[in-house]
Amino acid sequence: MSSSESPSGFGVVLFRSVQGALGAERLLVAAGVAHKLIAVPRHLSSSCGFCVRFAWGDRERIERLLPGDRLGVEGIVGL
Amino acid sequence: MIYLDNAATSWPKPDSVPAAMERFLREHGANPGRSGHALSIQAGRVVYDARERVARLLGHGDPLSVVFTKNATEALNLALQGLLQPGDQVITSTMEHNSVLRPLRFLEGRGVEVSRLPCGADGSLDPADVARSISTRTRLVVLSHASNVVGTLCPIAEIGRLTADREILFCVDAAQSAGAVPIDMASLGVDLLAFTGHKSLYGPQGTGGLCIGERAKGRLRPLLHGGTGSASDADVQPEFLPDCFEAGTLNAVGLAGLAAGLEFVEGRGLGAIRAHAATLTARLLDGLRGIPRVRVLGTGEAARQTAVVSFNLDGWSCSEVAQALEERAGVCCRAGLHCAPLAHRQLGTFPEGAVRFSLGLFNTETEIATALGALRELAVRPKGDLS
Repeated sequence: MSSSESPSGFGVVLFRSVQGALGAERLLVAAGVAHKLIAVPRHLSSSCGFCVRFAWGDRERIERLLPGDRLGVEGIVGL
Repeated sequence: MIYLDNAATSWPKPDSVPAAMERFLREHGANPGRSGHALSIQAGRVVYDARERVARLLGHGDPLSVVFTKNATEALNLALQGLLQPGDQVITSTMEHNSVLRPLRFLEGRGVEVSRLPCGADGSLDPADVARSISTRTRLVVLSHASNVVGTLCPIAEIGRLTADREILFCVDAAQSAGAVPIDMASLGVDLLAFTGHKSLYGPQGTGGLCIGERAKGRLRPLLHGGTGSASDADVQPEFLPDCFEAGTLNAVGLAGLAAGLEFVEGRGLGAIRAHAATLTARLLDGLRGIPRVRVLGTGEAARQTAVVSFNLDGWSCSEVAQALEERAGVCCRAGLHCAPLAHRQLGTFPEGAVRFSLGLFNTETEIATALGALRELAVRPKGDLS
């Protein structure tokens, strides 16, 4: 799942599991990338937990930083 | 009171362990991974911190393939029952705990061939015996890293080299060694490593887990199916780690304590921990050798074992000795078969068993001297005189 537009200026990284989101948080904190863990928007995923919200302008940096396979990234979506 | 039963569970715990558990319950004791609110996120961070610390301490690269269970027994059952199929051969040893022996006996009744290799009189396993037992049907080698009866260390690096080049997985029961002996899962060629949190990792009871290496990924069936907080639109178990093996709410308060225990172990350093254990073990072995009618089991060499020493006093049953030591000197130790019947057969102490002293980081040389003194007083009495 991915999108190239973000009317709100924010995007989210979706994960198979919250464990992946927590692993991503560690990497983003270490890299100094602003982000917030938020509840998964219901229209985007059936997971019960949380995902990573970030400023859409950081999208490329986040894609480089997060190992998608290991963290189980399901998609990066503009909000 | 002198607590010498650390191989059953370590006690006392560092103060930071109960403090972390209380903090978890009071401040953020929500369900980790089930909701998106602040308390659930913080609970998830606590669990993830425990995963990272386990992975780092055990030389396992990927925190997401650390699966938490309630103890090492459950982790071993996941490895054994999750992998082995009728027609497979599994190689193990006679020094194993019932946490390995019993699931294997169960699987044997379902068509798995179990090769139980005898060990030496000191509890040591010869890797050449493992090599000779490998067949085209060998699926798994499962061995304890350190005996829970005599502490003898298994040469897992050599055995890991035997399995690494073959289509054979290597599972290590590290219940007695994780936190006591340096372990680097990747370089040792270990594919599955079962650990418990409440012994040398100084966490609370009810914590443990299985580290799943690259070669083992995708090869285990889950023991439990149920809610994981992920893929909630599907009524089948997810296939990704760690969720596939963590159905149901985790023991998050226990894992908060485990993380604190791991931090304590990291802070002390495994080198210093091992040195302390070796010093006390050598002191204990020397003292036991100087007491008449005491027969020490195992290697008799601190460098070849963990801080677990078993012995018998000729003329008394092991339970009489343990009872007398507690009454006279407040020594808490464990007598009997230690859930390892084949090991005691191997050591020549079945069915009577033995007295086991198992030491921890909080034991001192003074305590060892006191326990030895109490045993010496018993040994000079006429046989059977416990008055």
